[in-house]
Amino acid sequence: MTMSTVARCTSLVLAATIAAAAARVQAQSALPVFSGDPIDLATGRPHSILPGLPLVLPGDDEVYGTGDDVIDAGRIGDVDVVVRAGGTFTGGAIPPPATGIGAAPRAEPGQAGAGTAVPFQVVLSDGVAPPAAGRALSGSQHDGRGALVVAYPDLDGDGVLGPSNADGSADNEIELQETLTVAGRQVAVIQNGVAAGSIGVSIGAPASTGGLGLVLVGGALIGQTAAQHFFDGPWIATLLPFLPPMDPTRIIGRGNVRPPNPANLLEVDLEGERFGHPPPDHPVLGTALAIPLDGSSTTVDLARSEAGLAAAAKLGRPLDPATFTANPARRVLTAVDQQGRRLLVEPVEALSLMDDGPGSTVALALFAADLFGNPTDPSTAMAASLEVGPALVIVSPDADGDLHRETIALGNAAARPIVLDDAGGANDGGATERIVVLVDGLPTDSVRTTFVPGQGGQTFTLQVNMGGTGSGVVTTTQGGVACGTGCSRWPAAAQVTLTAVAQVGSQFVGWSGCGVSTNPAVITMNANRTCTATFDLISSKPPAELRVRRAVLARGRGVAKGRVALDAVFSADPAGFQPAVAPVTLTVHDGAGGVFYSRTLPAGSFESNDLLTVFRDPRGVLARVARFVFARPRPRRVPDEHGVRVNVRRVDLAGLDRAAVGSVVVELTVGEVRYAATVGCIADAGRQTLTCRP
Amino acid sequence: MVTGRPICRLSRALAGAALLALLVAAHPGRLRAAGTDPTLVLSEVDVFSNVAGAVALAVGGTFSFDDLVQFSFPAGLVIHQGNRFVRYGFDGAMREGTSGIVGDGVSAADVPALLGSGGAAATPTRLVELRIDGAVVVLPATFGPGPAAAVVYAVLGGEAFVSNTLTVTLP
Repeated sequence: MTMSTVARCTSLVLAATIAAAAARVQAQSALPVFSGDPIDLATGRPHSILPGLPLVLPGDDEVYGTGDDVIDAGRIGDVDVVVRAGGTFTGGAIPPPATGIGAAPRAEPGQAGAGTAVPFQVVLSDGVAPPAAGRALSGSQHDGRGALVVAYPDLDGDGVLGPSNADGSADNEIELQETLTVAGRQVAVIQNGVAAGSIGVSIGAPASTGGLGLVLVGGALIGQTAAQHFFDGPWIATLLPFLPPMDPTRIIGRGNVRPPNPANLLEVDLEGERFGHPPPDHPVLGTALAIPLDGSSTTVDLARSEAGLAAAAKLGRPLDPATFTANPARRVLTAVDQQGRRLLVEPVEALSLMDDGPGSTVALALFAADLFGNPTDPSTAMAASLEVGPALVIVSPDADGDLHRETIALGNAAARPIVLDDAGGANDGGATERIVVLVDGLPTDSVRTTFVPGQGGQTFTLQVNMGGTGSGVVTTTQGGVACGTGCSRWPAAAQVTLTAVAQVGSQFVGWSGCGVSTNPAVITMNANRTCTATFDLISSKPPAELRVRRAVLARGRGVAKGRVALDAVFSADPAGFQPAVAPVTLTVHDGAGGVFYSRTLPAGSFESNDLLTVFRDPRGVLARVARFVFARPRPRRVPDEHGVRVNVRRVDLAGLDRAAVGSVVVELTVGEVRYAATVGCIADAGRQTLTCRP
Repeated sequence: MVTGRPICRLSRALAGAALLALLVAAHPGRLRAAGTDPTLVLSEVDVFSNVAGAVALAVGGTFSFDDLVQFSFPAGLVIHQGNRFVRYGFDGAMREGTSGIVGDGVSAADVPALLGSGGAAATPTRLVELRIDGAVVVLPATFGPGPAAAVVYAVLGGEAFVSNTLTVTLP
């Protein structure tokens, strides 16, 4: 190609790009819903500003909380869209929201799906400044576009959704957890400026306590293309309990290739690390993202969710908000204690007890639960029985002197405290026992209990340190013992499972000092041990994201076909790395750190096909071979963004003669930067399937 | 050195993208993306019982729970032991019986026939809990000691889907 040809092509494309951008600006500006909203000249789309908040841009890295954030206090968001619960709006001035959860619509048993449901309307507004809600924008310009409504719970019952220092800062993590807990999410289709629907809710609190307060927030995707793909932006939103990513496809996945339909599967990411959670003491944003449940936030509305009929009795572990760490994977249940106060508990499936006889104990809570596991009001005659194995004793309650069985009346919603201990003197070390909960004589819950070797012999200390630029906590599964930043003493030969959990905005990088590489990690206490967990902030310098996009391989004939897709997206680092001119190494480990595969692509050859063994069963037999592809990622959205996509397309299961479970750690090294993701895989030869998930 | 007709790579790329867009628009039904297939994965199964011998299973995994809460589509858990099966619909319907359909495992093709098989499940069969990452059920008394298998199914848009199968030994 000659230079003149290059110049001609470049000028043609440039002219076309400018013309397209100008057309977009003109088209978007003509939409009434965007009247008065500033237009981003780089994209031709309106800036996404939450109502009443200043314009906040996450910078090139698309991550809030990093140094390149931009806050333009001169641009304050107006009201573009309003959510109302109850479904009574008929046009004109948009009515105010409920003034409290006592006045809010109650979620009723749903007709369409499981759980309870709340009717809602998403109303396009004429763009007034809050606290007014404005008047509805009617018209057909947006007919067929999708609206998304999400319900978030006020877990701690303090009347505010999200972190606030109004009640002190000690419980900010549990308040942050509220914004990571989705009680339900549903789409609706806009017709004449309103999208009406019903959102299913699976989280609730006992009716006798007034139920659980929900905040309904929402947004709408106002696109321009004829295809009406659901992910087609730009988008407008009510006040949200977080700063959303600028790109709506970070929430509405590009897998939603069909027009919006409430009866279609929906791929959403409401836990994205690109969401902004400014701390309550942020100098500009402060507590603007904390949404009070008193009707003062006019773009959102409230609802009340009561738990369903009692279907079981369950055990939970009481949570201490002062030591809680928010994480999307955690599930917090809203129970009530015997004094009528809200009691937050976490489901418990396994715990460890010190095998020390009368001494260290474990405290749990027993409560009546509905089909979704929510604490609920029992029937008046409901009673639950606990059965524990011979190596366990029920310390309290004890009404009949039987240490291994107890029947407890559950006449109201109050969770009953349960204290368990090891039987002592039975040399239980290493044994496993169960706690079984019965209702009507049928087992409804179970907790596996492992005994840690008892005291009397040698003990060692386990020191847990934190490192890195980010933050997180390390927990153990042993009897609720938590090692925040301190140490604990364990009997000789005890096996302690450490789990590193990164806080939002951080990522766990790895362990050092104790010879383990997996997470969770098992530490054998045969000496004093020191483990350092390193957490780094998620940042573009260098940014690190390697995650499983799609990880199900379907059944086939002799092979499992499908895709395990892992994307690594990163930007140019300060050293000037460019992936096209630097070598890229992909390494796949098993869960124990063994290397299945390692290959380095030389600089300049960024795409390759290769055979890859991705799975090994517990006997160490290498029997499965896959093809993986290095490929360029989705189109670049910012100039410096590059990436790698690893697609495992075919897995040969021949030779695998029984089900096997394992995990692989995929590690990508680009120059000095390392990215890693753990994928758990289950192979089932009989069904010829391999399924993996992050 | 330049030979032949000059090529404008960018224009060709744009033309290719436009062609792809046209193909996608013309054949949307060919797209099989994440938004159309339910995620059905079983990752663990646990069995527990009381001293009287009633047996419960706790299965862990993912099964498009968030969508199931929003709109109704047939989905549920099947436990089978030999030709005996019990099906726990996530809508609360429970059926049990015997059928050769399950004798060699449950495939997607088996699901329509399975949905019409069996009778109402008798006590103590119960769907105890349904949560985002699993379910707990009480088995019928007709299930005896020995191996059994668990699989999750769903029917969406007239098409049946099944998860992987996990096996468990009943006490």
